[in-house]
Amino acid sequence: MSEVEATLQRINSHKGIVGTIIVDKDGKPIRTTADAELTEKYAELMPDLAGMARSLVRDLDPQNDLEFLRIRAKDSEVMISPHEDFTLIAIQNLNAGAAE
Amino acid sequence: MMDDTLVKPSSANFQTPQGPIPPSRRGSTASGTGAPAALFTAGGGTSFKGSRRSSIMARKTKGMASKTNTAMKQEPVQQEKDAVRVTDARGVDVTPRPLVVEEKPMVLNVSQLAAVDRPSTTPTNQAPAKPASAGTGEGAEEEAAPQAAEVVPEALEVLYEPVRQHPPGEDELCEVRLSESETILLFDKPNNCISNDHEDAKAVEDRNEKYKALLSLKIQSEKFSEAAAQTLDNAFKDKEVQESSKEAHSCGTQANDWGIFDAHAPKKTASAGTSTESAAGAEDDASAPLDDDEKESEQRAEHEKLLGMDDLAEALIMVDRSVVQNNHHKELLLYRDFQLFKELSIPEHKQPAVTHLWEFSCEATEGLNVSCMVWNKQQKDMLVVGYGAYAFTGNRESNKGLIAVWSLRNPQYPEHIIKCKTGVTSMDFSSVHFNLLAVGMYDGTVSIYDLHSKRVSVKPIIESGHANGKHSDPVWRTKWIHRGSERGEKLVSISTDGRITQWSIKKGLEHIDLMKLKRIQSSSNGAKTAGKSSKPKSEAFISRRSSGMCFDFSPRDSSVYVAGTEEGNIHKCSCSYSEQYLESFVGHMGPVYQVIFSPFDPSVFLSSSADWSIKMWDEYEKQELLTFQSGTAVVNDVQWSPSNSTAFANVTKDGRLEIWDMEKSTLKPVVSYKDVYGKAKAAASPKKPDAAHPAIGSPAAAAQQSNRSLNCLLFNPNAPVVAVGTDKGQVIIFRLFNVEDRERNKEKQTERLRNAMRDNIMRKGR
Repeated sequence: MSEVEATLQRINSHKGIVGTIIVDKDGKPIRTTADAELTEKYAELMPDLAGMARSLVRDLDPQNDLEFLRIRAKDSEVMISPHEDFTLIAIQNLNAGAAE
Repeated sequence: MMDDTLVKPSSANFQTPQGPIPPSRRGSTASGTGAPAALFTAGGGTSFKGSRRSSIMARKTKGMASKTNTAMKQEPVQQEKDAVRVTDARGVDVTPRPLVVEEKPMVLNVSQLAAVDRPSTTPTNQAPAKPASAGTGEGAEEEAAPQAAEVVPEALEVLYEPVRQHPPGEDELCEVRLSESETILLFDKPNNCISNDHEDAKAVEDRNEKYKALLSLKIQSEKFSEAAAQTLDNAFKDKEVQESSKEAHSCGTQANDWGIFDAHAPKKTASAGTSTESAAGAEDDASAPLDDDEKESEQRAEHEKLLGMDDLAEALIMVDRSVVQNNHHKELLLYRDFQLFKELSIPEHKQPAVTHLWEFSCEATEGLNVSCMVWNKQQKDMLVVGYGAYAFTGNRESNKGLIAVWSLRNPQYPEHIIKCKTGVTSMDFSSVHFNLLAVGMYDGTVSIYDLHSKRVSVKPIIESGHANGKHSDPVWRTKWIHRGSERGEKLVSISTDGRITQWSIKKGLEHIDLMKLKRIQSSSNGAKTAGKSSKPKSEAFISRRSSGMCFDFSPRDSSVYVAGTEEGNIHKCSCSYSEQYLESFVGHMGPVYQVIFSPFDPSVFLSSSADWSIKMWDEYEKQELLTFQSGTAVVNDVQWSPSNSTAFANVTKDGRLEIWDMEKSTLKPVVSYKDVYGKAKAAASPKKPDAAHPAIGSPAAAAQQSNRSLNCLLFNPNAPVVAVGTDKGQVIIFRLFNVEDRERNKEKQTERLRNAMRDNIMRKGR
């Protein structure tokens, strides 16, 4: 457990991180460091997209499976790690100015 | 059946009597049978069937003589009945078929048909009738029939004559005759009573009397009784049952390729369920409470379990890596030598330069002294760093050691951290078994760790204990040496207790002392002691041991090696002689911290020492070839560049990284980078050395900024990168520019080196 906490803390301390959200399989956010509105939006939209991406990967080869999904926008990046029981979402701002 | 089937032309089609009917008209009723004639009692003996013959029937027997069922009929009178036919304007017979089937159909066979006399038919309607005839057999048959004579009934009435020769539109009077139709008997119950006048009346009366007498006789008898019974009408009862309506559910699913695949491979999902079993178990247990509060707490418990899952930890690590890689994107590209100069703002001049990329540092390693580093021989970008104090501080805490495995995947957190009981002072990876890491510790232990990919063992697989010939002083260098195909790879360690030991791991950890370093009389001071020759010979006079600090095996001969000592002497030894030196190189005035052979010229080696200098030696020369000095700080480490034969780099205690190129200059390093380090994230000192003669970079501006001592240095064999370890726990990665030489040919490089050496040495007037 503490390993998870430590890693979470580390991630959140990186430059540009907006927040990390852990969503359970029903779509409810368990843990979040982003603000509530953002959390709600992401928790609603991301698992579906990850599900579709997973479906695509497995349609191409059923023995394969989706491990990680990264969506890079102009100024931010969303990283999604889908699993059976939970989905982990991290949002990072890419602007150089987002740092100190 | 003699109804309207074509097949049985047994109906008697009677020709209309010529008499009362105009010849043009034809109507024929077909009476199928004569048998029921008895039932039909009509005046004149005409018996017409209620049903009309079918036109087909009629036609079949067209023209042909209607037959009389003489055989069947009981009446002597042969009546010919006309088959009624309806013909429309074109002359097509459209006689409606009878709706009622005859009561007693009679079948006439062919012979009977033939026997029947038929009246000659008026051939008027023959033509239209012909095509309607079905069955060639019948046709043939019927052809034969008309030849028979026909008995013309005397009194034949035509009941119905809808047949017209002319279309009804024309003005013409038509004759219609109506007559009584036949009687249909439905029920006949003969009377039980007869009149008194009846001839049988008497007999009947007598019978009646007799019966009455009989009755009176039997009145007493029990066998005869009159009884009557009335049946009960059962009352009706309504019974109702109500049933709930069946609900219809519609279920649908979409089958994917992988859904089908999963269905056939249940084991996969079963194994994946192990980690979620506990979560599921919690769910089941908690399904009982329905209370809201309890539900919440149950949910929380679930969440807690979720957070403790391995999967989550792994996922977090991946996310961590991605985030950090995003942040270090440019630096990583530089590391990998991506040729995107404009984007990465790489200095375009041709001068050698050094750029600070990033620092491998994390909380766990903060403050520790980096004592050694080594690249993995297989994964050439995996850097294993050993942390341990150089000096014994007496404080138990700071004596702890750490091994951290760093990778490019995450420059901000190591892949693994292994805690050791004492400080780590030297490490080396085996080139045969890529996962074996030999570690020399501050307390003299030599351990071997197995760094296998998934689970790194926290404990060493083997450790040298006191019984095993453990060193009694810190082990300053460990190296895996390949001693040839028959001896295989051996681990050699040197320590300040003066022993150079070779270890073998075939059976446990066995050691052989290769050499016990002995002090020799230094002759560089001018040989104070008289009588001793100035050339240090291999004869050892001294009983006290000398402390070894470093060693390196010759690439030319794997049994020859040089070892540097704390006294400043470097001894050339051989594995075959454990008592004597082959050669001693005297020149340094302080402890020699590093000796290293050139990868291009097997007889040339460099040594760095605490006397602020680097010396270049040839193993066959007693005197050093060249001395490099650029400052007044202890040179902690010196390394040859793997790609440029004339270049090498060194790090000093006062935080300088210097790169020398012998071809260019032996007096000054081509790059001298001064590390600037402070409490806040300090910007590095100017990355580009200025102008043509890069002097020592501007020193740290503020005196408050503490210096980092750079302890060790490593060139990366793959990328143009050096790793530098500091005494504050960071490992700095620098990108080199224009230091490496693209020349791949080793001989040419060696040539260059030799030339450079010759030039320089000649210049010094040697």
